[in-house]
Amino acid sequence: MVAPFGISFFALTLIGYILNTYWKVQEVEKNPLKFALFGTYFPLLFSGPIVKYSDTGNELVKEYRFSYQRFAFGGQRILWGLFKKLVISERLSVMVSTIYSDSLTYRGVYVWFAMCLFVLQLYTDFSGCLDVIYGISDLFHIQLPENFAHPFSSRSLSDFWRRWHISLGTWIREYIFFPIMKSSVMVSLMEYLKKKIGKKYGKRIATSIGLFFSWFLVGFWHGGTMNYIFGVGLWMWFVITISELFAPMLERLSDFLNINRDCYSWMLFQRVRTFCLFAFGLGFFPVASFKDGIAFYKAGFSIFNPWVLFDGSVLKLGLTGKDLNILFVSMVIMLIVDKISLIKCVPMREWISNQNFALRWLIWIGLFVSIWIYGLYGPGYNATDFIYTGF
Amino acid sequence: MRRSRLIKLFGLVVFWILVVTLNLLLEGLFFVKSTYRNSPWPSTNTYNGFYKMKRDTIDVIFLGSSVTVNGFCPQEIYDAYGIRSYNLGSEQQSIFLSYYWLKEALRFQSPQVVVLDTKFLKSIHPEYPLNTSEGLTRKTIDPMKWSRVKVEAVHDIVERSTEFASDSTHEDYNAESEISYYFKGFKYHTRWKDGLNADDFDVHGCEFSELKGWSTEIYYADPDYNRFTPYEYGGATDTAELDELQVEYLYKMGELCKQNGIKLILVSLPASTSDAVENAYCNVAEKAGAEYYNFGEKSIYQEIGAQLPKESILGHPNYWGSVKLSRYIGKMLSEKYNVAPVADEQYEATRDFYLQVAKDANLQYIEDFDQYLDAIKDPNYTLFFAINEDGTKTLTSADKEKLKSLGVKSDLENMYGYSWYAVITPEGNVAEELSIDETLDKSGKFGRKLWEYSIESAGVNTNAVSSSIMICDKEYAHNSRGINIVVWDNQGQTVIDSVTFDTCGDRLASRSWFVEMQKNDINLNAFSRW
Repeated sequence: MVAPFGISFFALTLIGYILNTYWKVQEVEKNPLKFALFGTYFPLLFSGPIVKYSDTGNELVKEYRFSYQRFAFGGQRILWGLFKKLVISERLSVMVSTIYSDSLTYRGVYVWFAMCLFVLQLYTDFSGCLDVIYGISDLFHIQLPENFAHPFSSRSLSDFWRRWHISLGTWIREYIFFPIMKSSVMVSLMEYLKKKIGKKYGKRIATSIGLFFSWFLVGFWHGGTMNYIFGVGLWMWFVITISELFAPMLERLSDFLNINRDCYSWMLFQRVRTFCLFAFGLGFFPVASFKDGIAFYKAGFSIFNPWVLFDGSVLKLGLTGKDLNILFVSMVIMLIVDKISLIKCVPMREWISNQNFALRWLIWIGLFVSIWIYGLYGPGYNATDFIYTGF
Repeated sequence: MRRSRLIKLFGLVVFWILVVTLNLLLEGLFFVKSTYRNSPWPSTNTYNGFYKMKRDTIDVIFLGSSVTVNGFCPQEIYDAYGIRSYNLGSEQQSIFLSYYWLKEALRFQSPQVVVLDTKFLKSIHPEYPLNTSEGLTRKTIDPMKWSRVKVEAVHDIVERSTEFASDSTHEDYNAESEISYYFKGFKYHTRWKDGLNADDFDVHGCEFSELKGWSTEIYYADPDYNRFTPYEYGGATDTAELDELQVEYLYKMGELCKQNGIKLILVSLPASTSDAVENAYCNVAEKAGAEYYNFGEKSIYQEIGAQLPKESILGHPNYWGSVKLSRYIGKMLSEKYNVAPVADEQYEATRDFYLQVAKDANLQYIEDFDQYLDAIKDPNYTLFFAINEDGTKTLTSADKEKLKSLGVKSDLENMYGYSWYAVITPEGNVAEELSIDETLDKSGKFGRKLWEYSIESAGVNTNAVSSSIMICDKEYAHNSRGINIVVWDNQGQTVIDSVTFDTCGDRLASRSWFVEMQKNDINLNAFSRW
C-alpha cells in the first residue's frame, strides 16, 4: 500500500510552516539557506519530533559557546536511546510478533499480553529513537521540543495524549482542531446546538465533532488503513468523548460510594486503566487490517487461559529465559530512571552529573557494556528499523 | 577555569580510551576461540602462534584444509630434516582463504616453498559463495591481524557473499555483514546466552602454537571401513569440473609465488579420486606454475609406507600416519627442492611438547598393565583410579611397587572385594580411600584451574559393584571389573585415556568404550587440542 502522500514528520513540519506564514502567525523566512536547514535538519527526518519554525528555526542557527556538559549530555542521551531500542524494544518485538503472527495458536491471555507488550515496545522504540535524535541535537547544542513526558503517569487518556507524541498532538490541535472549531460552519453549528440543547452540551457536541475529525486524521496519519484510523484515532476519540461526557456522573457516583480519589491506589487505578485503554486501541497497530484486528481480539476472548503466564509458555514466544531476565531487569532500570527524573524533576543524566565521577563512569560504562552485550543488533537484526520511521 | 577545562578534557580522553579498550576486551572475550582444548583444528592457536614466530624463519608453509592440518607436522619435519615449516591450514580452508593467508604470511615470512592441498579445488560446499561456510571462513580470517591484506580479504568476502545472496537461486543464503568483521561484537556479542566458559577467558591458552599449526587424531583406522586401494592412472583424458572461484585464486597464488620466488606445490592426500579429477588438478597446477603430487597414487603411497590400520593417511591422517607423511614430504623438500636445514631455537624449544603428544598418542594403545603403570608415571598427568568389583586379586608385588611409586598409599595386598579409589596429581596424592565393604565416593577439585571431579568405587563386598570417575561433569570411567584408570593431561587440560585393567582376572585392558566415545565426539579428541 502506498503511504498517503505528504503524511510524515517532514511534511507536517513544512505544512505547519506554510500555514503559520499564511495565517501571518510568523514571518516568511527569506533566507533560503536558513529555511533549507530547517526543512532538512537531518535528525528530524526519521522520527520527528514535528517542530515549529518559531521554536526551532532560530535554534538551528543561533551562535553558541561550546559546553562540555551539553555535549556530554548528548552522548549520554544517545546511549540511553540505544539501550531502550536495542535491549528492550527489540526483545519485546520478538514476543509481540510471535503472538501477532499466529492468533490461531496464541489465543486468550496471549492476546492481552501481546497488546500490553506492544505498548511498551512502541514506547521504547519511539522514545529510544527520539533520545538518539535529541542526543545528536545536543551534540550540536540544538534544543528540540520533547515528545514524551512520562506518558504512563497519565490518569486519563486525554492526559496521556498530552504526554505521548506531544508534537503530533500539538500539530493536530493547532492546524486541524482549532481551524475546524474556528470555521464558520462549526461556529454556526455550535450556536445552533447551544440553542437546541443548552450551552454545556451544545459546546460539548460541537467539540466532539471537531475532535472526531482531528482523531480521524491522527489515525490516518499513522497509516491509511482502517486499523490505524480506528485503533489510534477513532477509538481514542470515543474513549475521550465518553469519559468527558460521563465524568460528572462518575464523580457523583464515586462520592456516593465514598471512594477516595486523592489516594495513591486511586491514582494507580487510573494509570492502569489509562494504560489498558490506550493498549486496546494500539493493539490494532501491528495487524494488517481492521478485520484482522477484530479477529485478533476475538481470539482474546475465545479461551480463558491465564496459566500460560506461569507455566513456562512465555518461554516459547521466541525469547529464552535469559533474554526474559534481561528484559525484566532492563525495564526495571527504565522504571527507576523514570521515577527518579519524575521525583527530582530533572532528567536523569542531570542527576547523574551531580554524582561523583566513579558512580558517573560506572553508570555510563555499564550502560555501554549492557548495550554491547545484551543489545539485539548485528547480522539478522536491523538496528535502524525504528517503527516510526515508517511514517 | 582553564584548569577545570583541562581536567574535563583529560577526563573525556581517558573515558574514551576506557570505552575503546573495553570494546577490544569484550571482543577478545566473546570472540570464538578455537583452541587446543575445544577444537580438533585449533586455528586461533595456529594463527596467533604464527605471528609469534620470528620474521623470516619459516622456509615452508603448508596451506589447506583440515587434512593438511592433520597431515603435516612441522616438528617432525624439523626433527628429521632440520627444515623449518609452519602449518597454516584450517578447517575447510578454501583456496580463496589460502590465498589471503599466503599474502598475509608474506608480510612476515619469506618461505621457499608453499604446499597447498587440493581438496577445496572441487566444489564441496556449493551452497556457500566461498566453498566453505561463514563460520569457518571467520574461524580462518578473524585471527588475522588488521592490515591492508585483511581489509582486502574482508571486502572480497563480503562482496562475493552479497553477489551470491542476490542470486535468486540462493534464497536461503544471507549475505555477510562487513561491519561485523571490523567490530566482532556485532557477530559474537550474543554468545552471552550460551554462557561463556573457561576457554573464553583463557587468553593465554590461545596465544601460542607449540605444534606450529599441526593437530592430530589418535585412533587407528578401522580395518573394516578403511580399505584403501592406491590410485593408478587409467589413461582417461577427460577433465573434471573444478570450482571456478577456487581455481581463480589458485592462479593468484601461483602469481604471488612467482613474484616472490616461491615454489608452489599442490598435493592431494589419499582419497577417492578419478582420472578426470587428476587430469583437472594437473592442468590447473601447470597453469599456476605448480608441481602436483597425489599422495594416494600407488608409487608415492608405497614410498610413504604408511601401514594400516595403525598408520593412516587416509582422510584425516592420524598421528602415526602424519609422522610417515611428514617424513616423506620432509625428504622431498630436502632432496628435490633443496630446502636447507637450519637450527632454530623456536623448534628446539617445542620438541619436548611434541614428544609428550607422541607419548599421549601411544598411551591408549598400551595393553600391558606393567608397561602402562610405567607410562603413566609422568609429572604431566593427573591419575584417577577406582576399583570396580575387585582390582587386587592378580596384582603382583611389582605392580604394587609401581603403584606406590606413582603415589598410591594403600597396601592393596589381600584386599579382594575392597572398594578403593585414588586421585594423584603431580603435586602428590590428593585423595585416597580403602574400605572393606563400603561404597566409597569423593568429590573435589584438582589442578591450577580447580577442575571438578567426583570418584566412586564399590567392591564386590558392598554387593553393589560399580565405579565412576567424573571430571567436569563428564563420566570417563570404563566401569568394568578391575582397576579403572583415567589419565588427565595437565598441559592439554583434557582426558587422554580411560582404561580398565582386569586385575581381578586376566589383567587385560578394556577401553573400547573410550575409543568409541572419541570417534563419536570429535571435540573430545584429546589430541585435537594440539
